[in-house]
Amino acid sequence: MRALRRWAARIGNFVANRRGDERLREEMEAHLAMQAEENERAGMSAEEARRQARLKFGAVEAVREQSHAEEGLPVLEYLAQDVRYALRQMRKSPGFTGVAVVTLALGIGANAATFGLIDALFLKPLPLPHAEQLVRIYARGPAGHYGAGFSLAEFEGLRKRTTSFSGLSAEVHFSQLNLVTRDGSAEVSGAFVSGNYFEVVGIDPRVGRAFGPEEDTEPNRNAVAVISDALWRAHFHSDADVVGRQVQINGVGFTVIGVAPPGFHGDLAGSPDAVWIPAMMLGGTGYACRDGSYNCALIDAILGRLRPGNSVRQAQAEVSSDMVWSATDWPERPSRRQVAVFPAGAAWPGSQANDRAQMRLLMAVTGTLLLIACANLAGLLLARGAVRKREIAIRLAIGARRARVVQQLLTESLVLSAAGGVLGVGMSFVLRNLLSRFYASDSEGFHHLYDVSFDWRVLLYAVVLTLITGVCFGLVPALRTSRQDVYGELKQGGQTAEAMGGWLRHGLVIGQVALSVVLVISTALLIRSSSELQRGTNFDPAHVVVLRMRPELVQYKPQQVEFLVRESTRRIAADPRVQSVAFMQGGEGLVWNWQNGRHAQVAIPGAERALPHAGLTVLKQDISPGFFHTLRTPLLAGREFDEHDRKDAPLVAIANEALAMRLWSNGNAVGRALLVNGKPYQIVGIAANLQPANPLYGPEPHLYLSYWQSNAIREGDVRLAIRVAGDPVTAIAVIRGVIRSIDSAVPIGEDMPMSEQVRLEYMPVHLARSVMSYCGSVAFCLGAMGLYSLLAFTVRTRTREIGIRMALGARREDVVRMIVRQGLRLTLAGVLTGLVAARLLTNIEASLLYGVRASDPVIYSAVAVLLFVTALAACILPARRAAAVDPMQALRWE
Amino acid sequence: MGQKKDVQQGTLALMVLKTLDVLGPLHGYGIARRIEQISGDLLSVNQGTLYPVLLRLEQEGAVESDWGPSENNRRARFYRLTKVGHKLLDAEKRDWEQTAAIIARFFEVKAEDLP
Repeated sequence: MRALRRWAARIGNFVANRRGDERLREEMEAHLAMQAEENERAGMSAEEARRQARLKFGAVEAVREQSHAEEGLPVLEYLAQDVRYALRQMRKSPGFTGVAVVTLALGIGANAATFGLIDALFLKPLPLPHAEQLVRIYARGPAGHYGAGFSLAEFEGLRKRTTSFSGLSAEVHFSQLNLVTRDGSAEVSGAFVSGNYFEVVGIDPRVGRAFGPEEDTEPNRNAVAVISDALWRAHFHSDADVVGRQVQINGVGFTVIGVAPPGFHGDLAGSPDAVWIPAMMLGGTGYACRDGSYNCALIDAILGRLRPGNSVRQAQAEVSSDMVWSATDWPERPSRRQVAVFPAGAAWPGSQANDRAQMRLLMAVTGTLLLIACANLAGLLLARGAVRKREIAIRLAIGARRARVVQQLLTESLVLSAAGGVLGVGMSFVLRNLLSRFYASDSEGFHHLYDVSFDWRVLLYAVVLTLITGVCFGLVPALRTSRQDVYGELKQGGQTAEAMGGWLRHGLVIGQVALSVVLVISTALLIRSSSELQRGTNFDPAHVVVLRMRPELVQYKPQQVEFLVRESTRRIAADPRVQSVAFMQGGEGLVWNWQNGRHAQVAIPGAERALPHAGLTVLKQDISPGFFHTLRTPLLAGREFDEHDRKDAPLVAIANEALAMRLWSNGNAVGRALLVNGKPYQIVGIAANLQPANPLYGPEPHLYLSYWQSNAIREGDVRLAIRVAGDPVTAIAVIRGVIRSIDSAVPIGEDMPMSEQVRLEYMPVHLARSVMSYCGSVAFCLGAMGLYSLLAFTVRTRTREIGIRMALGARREDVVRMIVRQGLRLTLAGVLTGLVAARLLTNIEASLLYGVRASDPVIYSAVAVLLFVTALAACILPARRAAAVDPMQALRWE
Repeated sequence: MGQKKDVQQGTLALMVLKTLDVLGPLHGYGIARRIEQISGDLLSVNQGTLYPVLLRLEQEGAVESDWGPSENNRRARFYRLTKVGHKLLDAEKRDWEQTAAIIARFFEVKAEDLP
């Protein structure tokens, strides 16, 4: 209490800038006078009396200082003083200040932008009331993926028994809904949800009503939908009488009953929903079991709202023990599922792992950049410290304590870093918008939506980072500058500047060069990788349009699918702009079903026993005639499928090079017989590997079967690849129009130029390349600058020595050689260290390197040469300045 | 070093409080004289150190001060104990006596007294 009162008084005094100096002076004077009077009374002379009084009182200044220290907040006062002084210093050398602030801004900006992205991807809560109570429950299958799902019966059971949740809603994210309204159609994302969904997320519709309990009672009865605000604006002109309107969703009629409030995009971060449909309608839109019941209807996830005070862990325990995986209610369920409960703010856990790895890489790269910036600034500050040695010596000589000097120097670097931080935060807005573009949509054509707006987390991160940076580059120079021999310094007049921090500065420059070598090599590798991808591995994505038709979503029968495919490809091919059309079974991407593709068992007849499990499992795709021609994939031998490879013709297959080499060591496969899932096929051709080479995922064996000989038609899902003359973007509309003219209800998606799809599919590579290019080029410039400023400083402080050397007969070439040699020696050390470090560190990005090895010798040597040439250039100016030293002047100087 | 100073400052503050308690409102010089008379040489060289202590006590609300005429009609600042100051003095006094008693007992103990 007393301490509190005292602090209040001190803070009050500090804020009001109130000082009791006058009062104290008067009090002390009175004190001394009274003492003197008494002394006089005791018989001293007037003068002696005053002297004795002063002696007895002690040091007046000390008392004043002490009182002052007690009175206000001296630490803050010193701080204000130091900040004022720092600002004055910064104004005095605008060049240094400018370089330092920009360097810091580049580093801090990149880091804050990366963190902004992390914030948007992982940290930001959903914009829903008490979002921290929302969790999502997934079933993890035996392979570790999170899509094993639940049956409606399992969900209903949990909902009846739960104690940890105040509400549970089933959720099926259906990402390709074909929505037909009065004025047109659109592909939108949507979700099947339980009747209490809007209650669980905690929002009310802005127009109409939400779902109610009646939506949860009878399967296929309530064909009603709630639409998002964005959809309402775009397709219903914000009409208030939207309630009651009919829309077709995947060919089924639904009645709009409500519009969600603006800003509500569902509860899955990043994937905005535009339509919500009752889960009881799952069967009506193709999700029923074979026996027509709902027991197997797959629920992707369950959204739950925890009761206040309940933790995710408790919920996890309850759900795990509750879910009875009884075989009776769902005979076809995947066995060995595990329940996993996640906070709902995050994206789908499957994609989270990739995002996390990506963010770790970005953090590492931008962090390295900031480290280089710190090393650079520490070097500059050491140089300035050497120049300011005399000033510091005077301060120490007139009684400043070392801690006080360190505090002042540190304040200077903190003020610098604060200026850099402010500018950096400004820059991070621009950078973050550039970065978030990589997350705007995916290779399946879905728009993502992440809230990248600035929030307190990013601000806090930037502030903390700025402080750490300031201390990081300022502390060592401050300690070194303030540790000195005052008398020697003042006597000698600042000649010893060179010795100070010599090895430290050299070390810093070597470190900078080494780190920039690492970043520049990483950048070069990623640029190679991304251009390799963009060019296509044995396929040419330029001038190709891809799109996906999903007639099965509108309940097409196989004959209808066949008609649709034949008719649409015929009409598209008839367009004069189109050069060729090919297609394949949908499901996976056109050329990248490496991980999740369909598989087939293959074996050589007669040699089945030689292979384990009666065969080899390979990736399989059903492709149309002219597929390789359209993609411009080289056929290494034989032919590709043609119109004769139909159901009634002999079964034929095409192997990729990897498969041919695997089965027949000489790769000579054409004409050979092959058992595919037990049926005899004949290999008619060998195609080049389409998979981009990567050290982690090599080209895998791949089998192609003829579309018209397979069962693909039963599934409906078809991907088209269309090679056009001219701009593929303008061709898309034409092609869509052709398909619409056959049936406007057929859902079309993923329509984009193939090069765009390739870019989106390998987004992590391109994102890493962009960030790396930024960091690499900044690091490169900083490294060159660090070397230059060290050499320039050396020349400045060694002018006298150079003068003596020249007076003793050294020629100008010798002086130049001396400076250049010093520069190149440092560069050599830095480059060698950097090459070794790069070799070790670039393995981190191995998964992003396609068509180039992490140890690519060409890139390593090119970067080394580049660094040396740059270093040479950085030496030239200082060397010329050294050569221009006039011995007579140099000796008189100082 | 710092600790010793703290102790001194603490005892000095206690002496100031007690002086004001016994003698009523008093100016700085008067307090210093009184402490000097009783404690001997504690303040003989550094009477000035009294003033930061007074300032501190005032900030804590234990004393109040005002200008007034001294015995020789000089303008002087008079310090007066407040209610808070009285309470503080009582508490400090109790503390001090307790500490003193404990320390005293320790010094009386001889080796043979210990079990």
